[in-house]
Amino acid sequence: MATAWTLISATTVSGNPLAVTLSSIPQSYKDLYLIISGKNAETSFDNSWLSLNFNSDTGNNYSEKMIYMVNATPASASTTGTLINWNAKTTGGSSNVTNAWGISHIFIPNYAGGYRKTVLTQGGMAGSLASSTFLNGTAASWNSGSAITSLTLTREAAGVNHIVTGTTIYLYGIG
Amino acid sequence: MAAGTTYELITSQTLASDQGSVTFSDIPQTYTDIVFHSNSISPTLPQALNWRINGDSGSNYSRTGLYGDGSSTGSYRNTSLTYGLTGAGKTYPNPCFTSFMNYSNSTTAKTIILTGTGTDLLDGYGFAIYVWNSTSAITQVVFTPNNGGAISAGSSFSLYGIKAA
Repeated sequence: MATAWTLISATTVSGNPLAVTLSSIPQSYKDLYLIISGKNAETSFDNSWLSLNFNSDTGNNYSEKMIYMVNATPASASTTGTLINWNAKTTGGSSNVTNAWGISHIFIPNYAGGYRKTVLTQGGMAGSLASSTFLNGTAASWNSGSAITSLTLTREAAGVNHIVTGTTIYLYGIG
Repeated sequence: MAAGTTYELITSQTLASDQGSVTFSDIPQTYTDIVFHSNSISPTLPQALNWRINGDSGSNYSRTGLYGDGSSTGSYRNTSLTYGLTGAGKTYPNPCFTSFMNYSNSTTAKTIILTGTGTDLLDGYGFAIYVWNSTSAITQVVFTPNNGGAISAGSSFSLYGIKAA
């Protein structure tokens, strides 16, 4: 049987950047899978999202629907991308609390194909032991038939704060 | 301890033309769990695929689920179903993971965990857990459109085996 998962890249963030880009993604796999253990410097828990863009596209080409829980209360939300850095807050897995890191799993099927891309994510973060625990699952869409050749991870809010040194990003190819 | 490959591609199908069903037969019994990665289109309402195990169309499936449609959340509990459901898109492929845990044992009912979306995001995102009330080992899974019609060209299904999960 063929090996199904291949590690394409392992990135440990340094220098507290505003964005991290994984480029020159090989087109030889069927699907992509990202595993992120992240943290950002945002001081507001509500703004602790990470965002994802494909092929440097910051246009109004993203949409998403999600279910999420802040502590014990479930809710749902939808977003259509109209602003740079708000285009696909699909990760939801960063944490601004010392020694608490958010985790995101992101599945991108048929990334090299000609269809509009649909993405599944699961993420969560622990704000503290006492409060602000967050869990989310998201179905997101990038309305483009282009093959995905690069991924850019940013903060949700435009250009403020940064992704903290030590954030890890593992990109796998499947199939 | 030597490390081994734990997540292996068993087989995959990408449809070159519309099909009435997609069948995975003779599933090897050598893994701990199996997982389907589907990315499928089914344009006939409602946009979902049903799956049946080993050809069982009896009232042997039950489920519990949670979902968000973009504005509100909901949950469901159904028993005595005659199939399970996996999301599909109307126009574009929509992804789902469907995991069959401990699928090859012959002593317990089988648990299936599903995560995914359907209907080009109109349904949002959901989780579900199913039980197939049979002690038979799972050797076959068949996907068919839930309301007739076809599974569209471009849909893809990959079956993976996980060892010692």
